[in-house]
Amino acid sequence: MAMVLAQLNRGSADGADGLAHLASATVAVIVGADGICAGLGTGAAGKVLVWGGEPVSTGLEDLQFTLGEGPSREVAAAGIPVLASDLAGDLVRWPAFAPAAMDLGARAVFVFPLRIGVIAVGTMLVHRTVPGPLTPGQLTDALALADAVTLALLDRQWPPPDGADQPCPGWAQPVTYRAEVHQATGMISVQLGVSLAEALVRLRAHAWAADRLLADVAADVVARRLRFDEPER
Amino acid sequence: MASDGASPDRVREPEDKVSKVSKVSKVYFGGMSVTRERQLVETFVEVADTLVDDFDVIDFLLTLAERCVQLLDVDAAGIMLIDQRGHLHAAAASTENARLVELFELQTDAGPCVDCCRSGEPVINADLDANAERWPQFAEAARRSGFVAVHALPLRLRQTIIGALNLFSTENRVLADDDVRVGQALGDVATIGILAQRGLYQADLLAAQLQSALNSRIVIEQAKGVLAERRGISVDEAFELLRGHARRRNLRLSDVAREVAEGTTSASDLLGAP
Repeated sequence: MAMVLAQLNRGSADGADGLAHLASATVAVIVGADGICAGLGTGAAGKVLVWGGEPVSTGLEDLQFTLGEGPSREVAAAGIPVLASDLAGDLVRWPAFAPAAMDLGARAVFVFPLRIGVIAVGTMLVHRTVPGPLTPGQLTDALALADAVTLALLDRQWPPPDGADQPCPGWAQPVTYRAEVHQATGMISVQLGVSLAEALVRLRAHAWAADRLLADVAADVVARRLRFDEPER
Repeated sequence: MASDGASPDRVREPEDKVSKVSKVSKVYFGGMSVTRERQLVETFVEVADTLVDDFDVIDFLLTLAERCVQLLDVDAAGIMLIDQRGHLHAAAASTENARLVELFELQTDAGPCVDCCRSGEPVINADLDANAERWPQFAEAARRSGFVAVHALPLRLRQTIIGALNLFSTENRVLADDDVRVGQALGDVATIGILAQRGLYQADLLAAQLQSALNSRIVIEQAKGVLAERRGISVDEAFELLRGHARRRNLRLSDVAREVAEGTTSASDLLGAP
């Protein structure tokens, strides 16, 4: 999994879209799954598939949209992972989705929120053709992957303002680590009049462009030594 | 109101009524003061009341951290949780003060909570001078904040350590066995609270539960930032506003934080004019 995250990192640092170069099939094997996909959007309007083309996983997303029930909808609503390790045991919970999903060949479905605080991007769906829970290690990998995919999708949504050839900030600096990163995100969103999601991208881009630690830039924002609504010196 | 730049040297607890009462416990009964015994009972009743409601996990942990300071012979308390990658994060502190929070964040690599979580054993009465080499960054920052001793008690679910209860003393008083037992009981209550969050379908899904608690904390941090910038105040002051507002209106802290972070119209009186 470290290699997968490094691959995402390298893709980002090269100015390419790290996610586009990452084969979802490879990642699925590492997480111990038979298929994986990620979708943007959390509302009732459904999802836009943005990563992964494996037919069963994407079919499971389509099913949920068609039937109006299923784990992805619950994850999008509650923001908490749903781990259905045996769909045969979930016939009451999802009377339409569970049998239809089993017809597609899935026996276990694991869905993770793609979010950082109130920034909700979408969900990531992992499925297996045999029932059984994820091991603690696989679960850890899946959660780490969900974090990385969240950031990749945010960067894709708000490319750097100064032109496409400017690389996006890398993954090397974890975002969910420091309280000040999230405080600064909130402050920047007010300063620029943008969403928290865009504010986080701008904060990371600034740290990258200035070759500084994300935590240090965030601390400057919180201490009001740095504002994002003033022209750069 | 002390802002970031002008914090007093010492991280102090607000001197509310309850904490004053707790220090005047003279009548001993079976080794424990009657006053404290009653406070303990009240705390556990309060906990039981909270857990049957649609409770807010971070608010619950904040209250628990405050009760630790009132019930134990310590001056500050915090609850640290381990994320899915083994990193420690502050979930709640008895005082949401940037200096105190920093003491939790400095324990990412080395500190009493890291030791406690790795070994599963409590760290009790650790003198900060004596441990200056063991935890260089943490010990120095803690001493700068006026603390001289530190303790960490494991938050444990069966074989799994999910975090630690971190206690700080400003004087070199020894934390008695009785205090350690009470502290561990409060830590166990914190564990129960984290695991009892609503909306979690799978009883054994510890990683998801921890992730959910930590994400609630991120929402609060984002809201602090939005509110601080909108009102031109420090993030510490923003937290006081958020919590005071939630308490006065009997709202969940997480809900208020989410509305502020998202800029929902229901939060407009808190946010002030844009």
